[in-house]
Amino acid sequence: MTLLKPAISRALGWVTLVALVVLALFGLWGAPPDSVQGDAQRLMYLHVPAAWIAYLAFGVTAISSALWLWPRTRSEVYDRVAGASAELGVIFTVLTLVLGSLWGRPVWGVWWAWDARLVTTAVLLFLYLGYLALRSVPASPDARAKRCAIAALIAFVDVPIVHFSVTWWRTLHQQATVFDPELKANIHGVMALTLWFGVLAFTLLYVYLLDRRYRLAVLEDDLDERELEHAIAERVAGAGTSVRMSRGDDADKVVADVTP
Amino acid sequence: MSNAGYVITGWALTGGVFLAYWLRIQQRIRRAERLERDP
Amino acid sequence: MNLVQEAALVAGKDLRIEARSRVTLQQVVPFGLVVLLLFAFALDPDRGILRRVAPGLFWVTVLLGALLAVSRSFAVEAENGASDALRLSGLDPAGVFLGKAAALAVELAVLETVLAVGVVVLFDVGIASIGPLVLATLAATVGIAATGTLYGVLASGLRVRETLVPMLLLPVVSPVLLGATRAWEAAIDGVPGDAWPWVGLLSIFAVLYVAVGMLAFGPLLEEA
Repeated sequence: MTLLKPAISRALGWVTLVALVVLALFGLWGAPPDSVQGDAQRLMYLHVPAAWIAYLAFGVTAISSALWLWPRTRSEVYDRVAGASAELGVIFTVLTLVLGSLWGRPVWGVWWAWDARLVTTAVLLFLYLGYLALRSVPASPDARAKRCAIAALIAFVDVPIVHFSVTWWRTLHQQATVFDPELKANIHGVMALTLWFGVLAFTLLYVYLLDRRYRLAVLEDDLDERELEHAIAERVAGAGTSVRMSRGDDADKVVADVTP
Repeated sequence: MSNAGYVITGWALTGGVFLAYWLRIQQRIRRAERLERDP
Repeated sequence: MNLVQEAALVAGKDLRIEARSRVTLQQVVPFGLVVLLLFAFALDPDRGILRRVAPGLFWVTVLLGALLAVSRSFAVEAENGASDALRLSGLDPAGVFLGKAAALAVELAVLETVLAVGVVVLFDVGIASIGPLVLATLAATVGIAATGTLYGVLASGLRVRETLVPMLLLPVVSPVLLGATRAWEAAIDGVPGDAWPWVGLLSIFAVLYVAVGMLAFGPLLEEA
């Protein structure tokens, strides 16, 4: 029903909250402003961890999808984890891009830079959105799981190609390091610590939200299934007629032919 | 907007997004649990 | 029947349907030419802009045309329960995939040839080194055909497939757009050395997605 035991989930929630508050204290106050970028650099403590988790979530979706596809490990758990992780991935990816813009504007004067990493992240966002769009198409759980799992893997093998080609492209145009957070900011001491703490805090947040989103997926899938059984039972109980399934792509297929 | 403005916006946005998402998930979970008990 | 023969069978079927209905020739190709025209309306034809951006415009137009061609490739299966027949035919799904992708590639090649002429004529583009250009185009076409066929079967049978396939396909083939455009730029500027690495990238993409397609087509066809 859940990925973590309820007590652990609750505890994780609290720990995550504390970690985020501590991150805020360090990020906004404890860490010194950058010598070059000033206070704007404080956005790095969110932007970089968000980017890491965006890619982590994508990896989890891919691995989960592979586990579902492999017959010996097939389980609806993996399908739901893949979906939940993708949703979280979208949030972290959008956050990465928006925070990148908010950081880039004061420091480099631009809302967007055609930097290899940003562009790859933008493509990642669209790959995620495609996956979620596919997931929202009504279908039987197995059909949906299979389609989505394959789509996730198709997208996953694409990411390194995208990354490599975009990096290469921008290197040729000699603008690869414009937006590089690690190069432009002299990270040491408290700043490095805060950055790593940010990665930790976001990872905890991701795991906690994944567990919650998974629980929601289980509940809603169960509800959908019960609604469906209910609807079929009602129709069959009516005067003998052909029953057509009323949802998803199995509509137009005759389910039962009940003669009076 | 000053540097501080961008920073505050970024942090507030991040906090807001996660808070909203978490609240929404919790709300949907409670609703689903309720429907499961008494459909 | 071995894999190649099965692929040839399926490709032959698709191309015969195309020869009789001429949808690619009479609808997709003109669509591509119209898009090129619209680019000229949108940009300034008199300041050498079109000439500079011609490779990119060419490949964007090819991708848009490919969306239509993919849609058509699976529309022909949706009629008369053809996809059921395909499933039950006993043909190796990998062979079916190769056949459909090959047919799609041929149609794209026709589109590309016409558009290339269009680009040379309308945008005043001269091509210095034809070799890397042709190889890049070949590799890119195989890559687009493979991924297009893959997403086509993935979405076939879904009512939202017409809006879903574009948003699934385009991000995935973005490296192809990137590589093919850069290769064409190098070929046009007469610096073929710059093109070969991109040809390599395009080839890797093509091989990878042909392999993925051969593996995934079967399972996806079951759900179609």
